Amino acid sequence: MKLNVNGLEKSYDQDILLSSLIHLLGLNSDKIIVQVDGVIIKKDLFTTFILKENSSIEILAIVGGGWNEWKANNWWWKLWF
Amino acid sequence: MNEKLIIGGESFDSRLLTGSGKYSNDSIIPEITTASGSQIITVALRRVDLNSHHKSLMDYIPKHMKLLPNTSGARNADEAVKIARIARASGCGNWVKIEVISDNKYLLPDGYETIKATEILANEGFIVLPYINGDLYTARSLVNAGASAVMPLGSPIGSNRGIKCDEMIRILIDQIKIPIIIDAGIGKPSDAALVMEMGADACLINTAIASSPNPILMAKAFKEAISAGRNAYLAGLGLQTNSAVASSPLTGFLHG
Repeated sequence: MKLNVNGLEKSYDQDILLSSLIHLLGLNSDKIIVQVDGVIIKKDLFTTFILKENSSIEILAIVGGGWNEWKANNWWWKLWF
Repeated sequence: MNEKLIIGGESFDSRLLTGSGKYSNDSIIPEITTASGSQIITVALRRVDLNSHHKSLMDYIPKHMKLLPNTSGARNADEAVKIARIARASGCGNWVKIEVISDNKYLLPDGYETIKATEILANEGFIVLPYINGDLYTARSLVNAGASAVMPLGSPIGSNRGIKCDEMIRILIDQIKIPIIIDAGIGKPSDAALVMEMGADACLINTAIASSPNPILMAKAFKEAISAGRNAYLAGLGLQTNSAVASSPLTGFLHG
């Protein structure tokens, strides 16, 4: 199945849980927030949430700063809204 | 005399809020927070870079600190509200610093959109601290919208130009009865001391500390300046006069 994760195409052999995707990406689920197809997914649902073909997944994290960092790093923002 | 800073029903010993941006390495943040004595730190949201696994900023922020997520990147009220909700869902708590900015050169806040976002978020139980121009009517509207503090700028964000709006800030201090936290533009400790002497409740400092060649020592300098300014305000400044007033007796024994 194909997924779009933070703007990158990812392919997997079979259906995949959100928690498994996070693990495969090497991320710590305690320190991220995930939106799937425009909906924020609560952390306690990560282990049961099955991703669908062509889902669009946005993974965010808390970072330092404000506007200067935003301009440098968040070119994607307008795509999300 | 209660010397705590109280915002949204919570009290703080420190009147210095710090930012978490612009540091060459996030690992310096624990030392910055210790040197500054700050208990509130601003953070932002960003898309994770899947090709670069840095440590999380959260690994460096001491657990006792209150997180103040900002809505940087929002260009209208709807975007600010979305960012605030995401921040709360991410576990940052229910405090939010509203920044609504669509002016890319001077990064000045949009008062109208800020008021709209504040009203929505305050009704959802957020503790809202909006970044504003030093405008009395905007500040009054924010009080009515449920803001827990207002954050007028001293000068444009990140400019280190100091307090260019001191008369407007003085009016806010006189008229607005929720905490006044001076935000952007403070460039040196004496700027912070100046507004604290005027009666501001707190200052938020990021660039002036982060851009110093010795940010840890600068954090300590800001802590001391803000404390000095607050003490001067509480003590009350002496009267100014247009002519000299001798400090020592002029009628000495030499002239009989």
